[in-house]
Amino acid sequence: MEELLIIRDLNKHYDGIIAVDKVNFTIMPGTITGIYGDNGAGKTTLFNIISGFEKADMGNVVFEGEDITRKSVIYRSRKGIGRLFQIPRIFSDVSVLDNLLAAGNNHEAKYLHNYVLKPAAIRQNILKDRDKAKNILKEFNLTSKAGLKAFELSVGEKRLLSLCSLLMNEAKLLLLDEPFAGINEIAALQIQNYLISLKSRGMTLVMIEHDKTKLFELADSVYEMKQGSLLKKTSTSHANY
Amino acid sequence: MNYVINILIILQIYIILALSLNLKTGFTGLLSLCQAAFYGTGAYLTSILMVDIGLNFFTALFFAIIINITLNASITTWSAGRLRNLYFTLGTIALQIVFFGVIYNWQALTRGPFGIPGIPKPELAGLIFNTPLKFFILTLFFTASAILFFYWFAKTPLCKLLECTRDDEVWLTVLGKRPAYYKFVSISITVVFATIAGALYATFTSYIDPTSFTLDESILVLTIILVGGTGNIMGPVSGALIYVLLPEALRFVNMPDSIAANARMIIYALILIFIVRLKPNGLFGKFEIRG
Repeated sequence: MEELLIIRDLNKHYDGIIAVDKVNFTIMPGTITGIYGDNGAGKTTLFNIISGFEKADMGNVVFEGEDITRKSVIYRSRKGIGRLFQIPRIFSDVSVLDNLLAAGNNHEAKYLHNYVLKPAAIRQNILKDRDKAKNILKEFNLTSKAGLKAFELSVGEKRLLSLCSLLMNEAKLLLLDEPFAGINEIAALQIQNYLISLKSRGMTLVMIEHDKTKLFELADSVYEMKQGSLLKKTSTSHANY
Repeated sequence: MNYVINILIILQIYIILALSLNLKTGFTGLLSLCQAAFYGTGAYLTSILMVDIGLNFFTALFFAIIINITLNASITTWSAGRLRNLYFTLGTIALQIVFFGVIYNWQALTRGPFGIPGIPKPELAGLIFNTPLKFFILTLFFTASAILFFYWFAKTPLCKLLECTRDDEVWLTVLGKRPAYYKFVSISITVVFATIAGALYATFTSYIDPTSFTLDESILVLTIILVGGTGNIMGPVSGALIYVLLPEALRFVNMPDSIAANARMIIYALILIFIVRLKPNGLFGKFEIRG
């Protein structure tokens, strides 16, 4: 099987401080990879570089065989890299369902003239997206919240909504920045089960966590990150969830 | 009777202006203080094309919209891509001031402080809209079209994406959408309707000069949507109703002549403060405007 993501000799410095130091690793499709480390170890910077929010000083990011090191966030997102932030990002003043519809890929609806020239195509896409969004909400137990404004959700639900949006957007690789931070045990267990179910569907996940135990419970391989370097890879045996 | 019709024409021009600003500020979250520049550019372009080139109102309006989008929508979108929040608002103030400076000083084109007199009335297939009633019907057509358009547009997926641009640009980018494009769409639609409002104003009064399109006018249109509320259709319409009709209603409050004008303005201001205090998001507002 071909690697989904290859990170080669990645380096990032801020005013002489090493944030990411010669990082190399590969991610295989359908796996969960965990990265843990102290605050300031460079985990989030690494995610920022993979998702395109920051540019590496040196090194390469290769996704599905294409070098995307110099590509924008939007390009990477369209290729299938999804990013979940530690503080969940949502469209707070629109409904939960509309959050998902906005994440969909209804290209015709982007252009005003299409509402005159291709109304049938737009209607069809809206119906298709609506069905898809409702299925995702059902899967993540958010159906009853579909009509609520997103800001009315709890932190855990907001995080699930972000995750649902990435699925609606058809992300292939999910970068999850501390998905269990700031939520109670029950919500954390719920998210954990969803992540396992995503993996079983062939999704690829890379997770940053402070909580080592969570990572070892979930991930196929776990890396420790310290002062910008990936120190060691520990393989676990969770391939058969 | 003509007095009432004239007030209703002005009311409708402000409804169109407020609805268009509402799209940019209420739905897309771009707090903007250059609506008078969009409106004024529309008024000046239509007037120049009608007076100097001799175009018909509707042809002049069409070209005015194209030129106004090319000029103002592009500049504003460009600055919206580089400036955030209050810095964007400051950028729009700069655009407004530059606009005033240009129309005030480019005398060869705009006749500067002397203004453009003798702007002809609109004409369509031999029908000249030269009486208050006929002009009212023309304005009603444009106002109804604007209300219907914005009512329809608010329900489209495209408008939802404008709202998402307002809520979180970063998240929109992560989802593979280009916020700058949605801002351009929003600003362009705003410019189209502001141009229509400007063209109607110029042909209604038959005379325009730079003093009608100052920063004060931009603040005023923003006040209308703040009082009425943003993010829906009722807000800007009710805000315009209050702005235009309340001062007229206060004319009928008996007061000594020496203090009447100032006292009416004080009462008007107090009523506005009372509304904003009681309903911080405006009368029908869905969202708080964020700077």
